[in-house]
Amino acid sequence: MLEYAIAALLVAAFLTPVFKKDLIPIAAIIFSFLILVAVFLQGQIVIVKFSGWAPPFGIAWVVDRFNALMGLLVTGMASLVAIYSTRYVRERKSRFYTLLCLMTAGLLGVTLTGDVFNMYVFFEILSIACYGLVAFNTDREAIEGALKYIVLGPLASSFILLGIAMLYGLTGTLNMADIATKIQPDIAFNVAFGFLVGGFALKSAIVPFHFWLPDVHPVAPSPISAMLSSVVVGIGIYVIMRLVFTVFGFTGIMWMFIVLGIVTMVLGGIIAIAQTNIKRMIAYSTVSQSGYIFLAMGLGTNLGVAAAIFHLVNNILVKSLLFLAAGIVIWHTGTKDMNQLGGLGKRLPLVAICFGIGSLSIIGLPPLNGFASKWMIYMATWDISPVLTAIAVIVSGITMIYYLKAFSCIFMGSSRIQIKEKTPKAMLAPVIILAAICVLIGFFPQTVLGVIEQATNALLNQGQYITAVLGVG
Amino acid sequence: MFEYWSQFILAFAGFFLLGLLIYLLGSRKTRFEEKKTDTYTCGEPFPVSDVGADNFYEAVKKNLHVDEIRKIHSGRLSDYLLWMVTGMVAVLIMVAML
Repeated sequence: MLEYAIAALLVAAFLTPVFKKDLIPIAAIIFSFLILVAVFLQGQIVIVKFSGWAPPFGIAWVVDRFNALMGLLVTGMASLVAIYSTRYVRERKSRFYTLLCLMTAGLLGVTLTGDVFNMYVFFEILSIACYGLVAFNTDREAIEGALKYIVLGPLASSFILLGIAMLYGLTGTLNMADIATKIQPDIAFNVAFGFLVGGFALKSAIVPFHFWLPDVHPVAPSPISAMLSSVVVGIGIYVIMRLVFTVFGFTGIMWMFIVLGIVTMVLGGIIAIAQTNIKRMIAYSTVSQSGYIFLAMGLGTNLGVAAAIFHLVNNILVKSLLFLAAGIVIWHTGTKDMNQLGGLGKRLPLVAICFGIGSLSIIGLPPLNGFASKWMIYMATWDISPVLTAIAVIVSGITMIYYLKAFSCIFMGSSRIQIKEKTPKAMLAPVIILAAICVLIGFFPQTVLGVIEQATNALLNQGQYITAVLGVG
Repeated sequence: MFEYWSQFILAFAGFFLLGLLIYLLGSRKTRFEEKKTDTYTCGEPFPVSDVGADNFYEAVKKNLHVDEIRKIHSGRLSDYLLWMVTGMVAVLIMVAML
């Protein structure tokens, strides 16, 4: 059943330019979301073997609780973005939806596969769709952003391919579970790991691989900025987590990720303060929040990894909410410059409330979802070193500085721009849904924490993964 | 595994909501005289002005050396490539020491 989720997206990508109907890609994306809901509700490891070849000889997709959760988020966000885009995108819609379907297929493939080369292929499908979508507006900024992405992206892909080639040379297999059984404490394996981490760090927005991101995310259409800053960054982090814990089986504290995480969250936060372009500011915020996730992951404890996964989920929800809300503001006013905006709280009260919820959540204020995951990060870092907790709290203060500035500049003060049109319901509904989810998770975090705990156990239990795929311990 | 709603968090959330409630109730009942809405600085009327996004947190930006950090984000592709290769070398050195 799982393979139909991606098949539907690929078929829709080819049918959309032929029939030029929005309904085909939207139906395909929602169909894939429903399949992922069904897989998620099964609650057990699902293995799809292609062409009847048992792993490690054939390509296999392996879906445990962690990537089922990620797949659910990918298709869920893509569904909301597809609905939002029915009104946001005014021209060349079929081209847009074709690329959106390919992007979703790439994201889902990277998430579900248990084969490193298959992952690379889906990663390339994702990247190529992203290049097209970033350049979609075809203005000077968009072309420049896409060009930077097209030059840097293949460099990252070559690092990934080099890492995969080294792993294949060392182990003679491409299956993740099989590789995991053959990993040895050898510098050659570490170098392969380094190439893979460096390659996927480009998508994960980790300093110093983040430079392209604030130039690229803001120039894309707002729904695509939402996808790039939430699920695309999230998938990069997912892959690194999968490699670290499932394939290479690292345990204990990992200072490399802690150092990268701290530098990323501090630098991203500080530079965000100076931004006047709303989308660029949110993009830098994405860099900063990725740092939090890597910091928590680097702790290597159960609580740290759970906090990292929870913050990853929250970052996906909140970044989508903020970019989609900012997209409504840009759709109405035609500008991303906060110097030119102001007083929109009276004209767009629902958007202001939703943007406010997203801002307070990512700052980490209760009772919102961002607080729940940041609190877990504080607790997890406190166990290792209170200095790490202090840095995390200070960066939350920095986050408050730039989000309060953004809210004040856009929604408060005197009104400078007249708004004539009403916000279309198709654009408003996804924003309200995401804001409601943020509030609900904030009030009832236990419901999500159960899922996070299962995902954490699935990620850290390397033996269970290997046994499920290969049938041996 | 996680005892989330500890008493401390509940108290924190409770105070936050209480503060919000007090603020909302307070702002609802307050009636200002038209004259009092003028802003005074040292007793002199101060013209109403909007603060643009550029001028927000000037002191914070200066103290955190934001402009210096911004300079490394030059927008030039060759600089970004150099940073990426430097990052890759740094990661390889770090993993070699694992």
